[in-house]
Amino acid sequence: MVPRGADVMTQRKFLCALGIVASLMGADACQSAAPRREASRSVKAVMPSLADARPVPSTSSASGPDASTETRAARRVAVPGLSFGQPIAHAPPDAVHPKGTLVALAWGMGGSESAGLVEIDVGTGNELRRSAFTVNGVAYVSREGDAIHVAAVQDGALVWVTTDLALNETRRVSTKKGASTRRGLDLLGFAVIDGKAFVVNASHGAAVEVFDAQGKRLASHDCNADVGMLRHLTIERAGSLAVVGGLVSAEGAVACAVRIDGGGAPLRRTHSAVSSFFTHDGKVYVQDPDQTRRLDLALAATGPAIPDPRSCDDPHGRCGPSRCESGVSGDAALQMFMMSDVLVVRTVGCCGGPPGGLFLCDHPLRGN
Amino acid sequence: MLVSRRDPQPPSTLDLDLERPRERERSAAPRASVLLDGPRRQSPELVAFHASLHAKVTDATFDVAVASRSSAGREAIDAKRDAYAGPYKVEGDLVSAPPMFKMIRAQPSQERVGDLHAIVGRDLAQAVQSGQAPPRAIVKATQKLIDAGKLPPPPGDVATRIKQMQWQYGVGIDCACFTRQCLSAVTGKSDAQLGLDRDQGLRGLDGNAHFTKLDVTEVRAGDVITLDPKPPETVGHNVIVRDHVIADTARKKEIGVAGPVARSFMASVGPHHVIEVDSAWGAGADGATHGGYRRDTWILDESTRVWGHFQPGSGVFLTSKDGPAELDRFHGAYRAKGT
Repeated sequence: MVPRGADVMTQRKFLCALGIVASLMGADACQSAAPRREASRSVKAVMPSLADARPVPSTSSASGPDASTETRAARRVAVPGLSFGQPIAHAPPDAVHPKGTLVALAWGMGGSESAGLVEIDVGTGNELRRSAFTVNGVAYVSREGDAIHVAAVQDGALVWVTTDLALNETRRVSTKKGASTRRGLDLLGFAVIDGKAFVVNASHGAAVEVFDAQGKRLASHDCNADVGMLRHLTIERAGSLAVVGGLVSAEGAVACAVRIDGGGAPLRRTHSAVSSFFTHDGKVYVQDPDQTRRLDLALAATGPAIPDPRSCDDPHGRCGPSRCESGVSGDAALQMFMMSDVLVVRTVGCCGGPPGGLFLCDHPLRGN
Repeated sequence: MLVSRRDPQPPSTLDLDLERPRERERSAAPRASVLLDGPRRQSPELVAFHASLHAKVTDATFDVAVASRSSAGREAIDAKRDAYAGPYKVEGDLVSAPPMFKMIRAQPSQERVGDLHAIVGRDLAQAVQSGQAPPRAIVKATQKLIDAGKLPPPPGDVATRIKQMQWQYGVGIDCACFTRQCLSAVTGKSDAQLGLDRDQGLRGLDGNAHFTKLDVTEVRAGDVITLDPKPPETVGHNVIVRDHVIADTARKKEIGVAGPVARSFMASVGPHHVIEVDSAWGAGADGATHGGYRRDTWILDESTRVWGHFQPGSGVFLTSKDGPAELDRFHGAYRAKGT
């Protein structure tokens, strides 16, 4: 799906966003593929909106002498009858879709509880295509290579659907009910890494369970943590580890990692109660209210504070603001990534608050 | 109304307006009075009279016990609410302000979250920005912000400006925090003693041996109601029951004033369970003023199992078969054992 004619850097950058280069060449490959400004500046220094509480003017223009403060309101991705969930980057920019496309889970396809996949033009927010298949209930999406994977729990079993990039179902695997070692299956996170499904089962505490392509359970690791309020966990590759973000304990936020080969004991490290974790380009980060830092492979914070790398996903290494200035609803952002100069944000509501959704925020990039 | 064991009130004077317990609860009610266990060799009429009197007094005693527990529960919940509200010393006055909403991740509009640790200290900042802090931490951090001159200037009353300030700096609590705090106040037990130390979001009460699941028509002050998210939402909601009554004519009329939907809803056969719930409610992306601690009223029409509730912010009356919230679905009602 990397466009023909794109330069090597762009191709590698796109593959990095999908975690492919990282898995093939090691985590540091992406750093060299997309050099960016990871200097020892504070987050505040490059994010005036975080450092300065003055109102930021909204404008539809991306040009001008002070483009770094110019933003546009978020656009909610709205398709009648559908409610959007987790998005993933899909196709890079081309002549037809100059901002690229994303794929998102969407509920309401054949019933309010039925979820499928929809491809969205990032520039317009319009639907391009949707999958013919659906799954019921809570679902997660993951991408590895040219395959898109969707996981859901149906009748107590893990259902794992694979599609091609045109969203045609190519494979469907169901684990046997009770295949999990835990009481039931409360699916709170999912990723496919090296052809294996890594899921977080929260039916009792939080366990990372690994299934092979036939749905056979290969391993189960207890992260000795709670799933926290958001009830959405990320699982992403970092080198030879699958790192789970979003766990908590009485001592604070918990980073938990298991070996991709399924062996050994899980690696676990507690950070402050207000820390959150994310993985980007094969590297793991810890984010506190006042700073973002990388984690080393022992899950300890290392190096200086850096800009949020998720706002810098640009072939030229430029950064956009890591926020939408207005127009977003919901109580927490679960996913956020840049595609071209568009910040993609998916939010959820909490505690009876307003509903979340999928939003596209046009941002001028800066820092070239 | 107290019922003396030695001087039971005649049935006609018993206060029967109190909540009626379910049969299962009645069976667990304490025995009313040794006097009413009655002589064994009496005329059938007298035995029947004693039996009747016994049943009524047992009911009444149980009602009193329930009322007493409900009253104690309400007091504990109100005390927790008040503890979270300060009071704060602002320019020589004492001002109470209910706590703002905060969950683990800050919103972009909470522009001062990174500054809090420099003002209140890192440990306290982390505690109050986690969304899980006890009242004393919320109040301490808030007072430190006020003392540091961080209270936004007017317009707005002081309590509203305190909430604005809490939002900017990420000081507040989420729904599970407030519910667990109230549970602790009602039961006198810690999270660990209630089996909640691994269940921050209160999603595992079905499998928690410290809790009994109830029909929602049976709830009383101190019980917990949980709501599940409808996908693609992921979080859900938790509240503590503060009061529960069956709507009488006056209450139906009062609720019906909200509009034609409310009038129609309250006109059905019912009974209509009016359930007052306390929690910390989501404040959205920009810190809506109706976010944070709030007391809401939910209504269940027992005959249809349809819920009615007032939309936060707008006050519009909405109905749903799913539950008393737009985003979420009713999951269950629970009572901590021993309460």
